[in-house]
Amino acid sequence: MTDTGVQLSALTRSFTSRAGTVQAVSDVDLQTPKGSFLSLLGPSGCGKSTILRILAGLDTPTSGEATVHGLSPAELRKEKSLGVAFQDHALLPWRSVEKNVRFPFEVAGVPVDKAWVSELLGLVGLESFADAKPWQLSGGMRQRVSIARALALRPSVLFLDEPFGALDDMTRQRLNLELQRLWMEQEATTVMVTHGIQEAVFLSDYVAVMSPRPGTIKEVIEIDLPRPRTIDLMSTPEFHHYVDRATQLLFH
Amino acid sequence: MQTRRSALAPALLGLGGLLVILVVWQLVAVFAFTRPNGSYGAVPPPLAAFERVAADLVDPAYWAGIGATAGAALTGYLIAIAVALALGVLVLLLPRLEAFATQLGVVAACVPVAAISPIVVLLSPPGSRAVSVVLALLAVEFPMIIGVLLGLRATTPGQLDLVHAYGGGTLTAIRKVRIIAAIPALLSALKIGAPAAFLGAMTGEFFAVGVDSGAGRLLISQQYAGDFVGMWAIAILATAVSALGYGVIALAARWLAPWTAHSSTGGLR
Repeated sequence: MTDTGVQLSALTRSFTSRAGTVQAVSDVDLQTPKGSFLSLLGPSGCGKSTILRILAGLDTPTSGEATVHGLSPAELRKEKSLGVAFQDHALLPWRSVEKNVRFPFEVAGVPVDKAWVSELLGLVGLESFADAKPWQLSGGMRQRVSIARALALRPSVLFLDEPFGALDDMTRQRLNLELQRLWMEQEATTVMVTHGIQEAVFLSDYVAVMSPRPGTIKEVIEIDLPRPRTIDLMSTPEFHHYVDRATQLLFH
Repeated sequence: MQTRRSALAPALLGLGGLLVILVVWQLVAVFAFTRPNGSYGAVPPPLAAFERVAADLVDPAYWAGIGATAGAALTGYLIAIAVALALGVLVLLLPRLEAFATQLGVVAACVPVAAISPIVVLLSPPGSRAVSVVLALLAVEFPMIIGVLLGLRATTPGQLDLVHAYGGGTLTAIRKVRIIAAIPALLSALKIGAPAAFLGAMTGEFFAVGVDSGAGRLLISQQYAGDFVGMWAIAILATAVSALGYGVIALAARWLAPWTAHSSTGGLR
């Protein structure tokens, strides 16, 4: 199947400590089409970040398999067309904004696409801050740099772990709108981890609602709302229908 | 306005503190330590001490002495840095060695100077400054090792995840992130170590055999001669040299690692 985006098959990850074995992710199956936006929604400790880390090759499953576009995490890395952004923006404080965005090129060993880097800075509204250092920026601006960096390699796959989780609601809302715009231009298969219900519904094509300990997927909700989605959409009954459905699943 | 006040306040406080010390020093010297015949006792007034400092500064013998001590201090300091950095490389490659590195630092800090110095003197030829070098090294080693280990921990898990997600291996992480992230902690250890090295080298001269010059030696001969003003002048000069070492590295740090003051964005969290 060439059109498969994310595929999780019987994915299980358990952590063993002296206190015993904890199942962080238990027997998770999931499939999304290529180019779709998937959110893993759930309370903290439900294993959603673990799934993302496995997909990004930062963790290995105890059993089962995780692929994106039919590629294992290791193969995906070799393609050099993935992007990541975490809640901890993980900007390097000694590098300027522009050099932080160039960082993925350097690590992946790919020549820096300077024109694209400056275009990216424009896309996230930071062209005049190219030479600024991270500590000179606000929290929202730092996350914008982190998003620009995630898009540096023109990724066909994007992993986002609560990228705006540490921000205030208003900034978060605004950045979600920007993220949608950027995502629509890139057409990347995206997996986002979040505990924000509205955020998940607003951005996603699919919302996988998870339950904690052991982390399993309760249901995958397909969000059939037209794009580009606007702030006005968030007050429509259709939007609320999806939010209510997700809420119900989370609390029952 | 407010920023100027907040920048000025610490400087004023520092100046005020210095003034209080000088006034108390003067009072103690005049009322508690002046002999019945009017000559200075064990605590001479500050002005006399500073006059002597000025006189010492134009005396080449003093320069040579302080230079010799500083040379031994620098040698010990550099060896301590080399050892700490070598340990840092080992810990980078084999993280389990971290406990061993810490222990080595603790041992260096706990070695009784009074016991180890005569042994070093016995082992070295007469006229050697080895004991000064060793004491400087011992004084610096612990803060240096701790600085190196703190520096290696300064990288956040997120920064390492970033490198690995983009296909970078351990070496890339070390080269692009871990070494640079370690610089602030390293520099602050170097800063603390500089005065400690000079003090260690000076102390070493109290044990050295056949060594006639150096800040510590000058102190000893002045003690025998009862030259209190001279001893205070040496104390002031030694403090100045130590402060100079600290200051030079602090300046270098501002230039080399300007992000240190803003570590909340990634450095040491």
